[in-house]
Amino acid sequence: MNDFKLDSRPNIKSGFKAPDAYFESLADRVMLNLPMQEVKVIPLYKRRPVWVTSAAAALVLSLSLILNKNEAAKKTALPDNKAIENYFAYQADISSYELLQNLDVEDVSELQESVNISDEAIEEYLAGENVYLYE
Amino acid sequence: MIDHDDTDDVLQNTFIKVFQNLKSFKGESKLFSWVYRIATNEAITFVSSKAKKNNISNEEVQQKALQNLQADEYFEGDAMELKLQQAITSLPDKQQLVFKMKYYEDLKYEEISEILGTSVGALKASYHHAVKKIEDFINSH
Repeated sequence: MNDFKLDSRPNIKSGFKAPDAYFESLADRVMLNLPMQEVKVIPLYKRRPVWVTSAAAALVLSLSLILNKNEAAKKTALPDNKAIENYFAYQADISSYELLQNLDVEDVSELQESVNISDEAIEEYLAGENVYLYE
Repeated sequence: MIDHDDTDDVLQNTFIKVFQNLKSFKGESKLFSWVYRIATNEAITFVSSKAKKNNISNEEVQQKALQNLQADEYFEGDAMELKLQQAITSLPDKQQLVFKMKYYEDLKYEEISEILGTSVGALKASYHHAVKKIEDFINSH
């Protein structure tokens, strides 16, 4: 048989049929299979005005900026050891006697180890100052 | 789809997708075309998924469904209708879609073009070739 022509005859049907009442229950079955989603609750009224929230945010931001600035200022104000030494050497109005009063035995031992003073420097110092030798 | 249960699954999946994505429908095409496009995509995805699960080709999935068609209580077609279904299954996937939309549902080429995103000219050529292949299949089986 070689004379079959699709367009020369009435359309052949698909042969499929939907079950009775299929579409009546379809909506319910689709709804049952919908994935569960959390419903976001949006209140119908705003509990507090927007300006209150904005003002609170601005206040927190300002406080944090001020605190941050003070913290930074504190950090930069601390001098290093070199600056402290220079201050005591050239600017501070502290006598040798006052300095000695504030040094204990451990400080003196540490100084003896860390500070290398030549004999000439010691002799020069002893010759120039009113040093009283206590025996 | 050929098998009734598969058809039922695909139809439900289609409506679920429509429900979930309705907000994103911007009206750039007709609602009918948009829904139909979802349906065709769901059908193709379903067949591909079934094929992968059973480690067979898409064509084999459809052939298996065809073998059970005559016994299917929801298929009331005669011998010619069954033979036409067999002929259609021998076509490539997209060509099957074009043929079914044009022949069974009498959609215009412009409507099919909107659904599948294929030019009218290409669709006309595809349908013409599909008809030729089906006639050859029926004449030889």
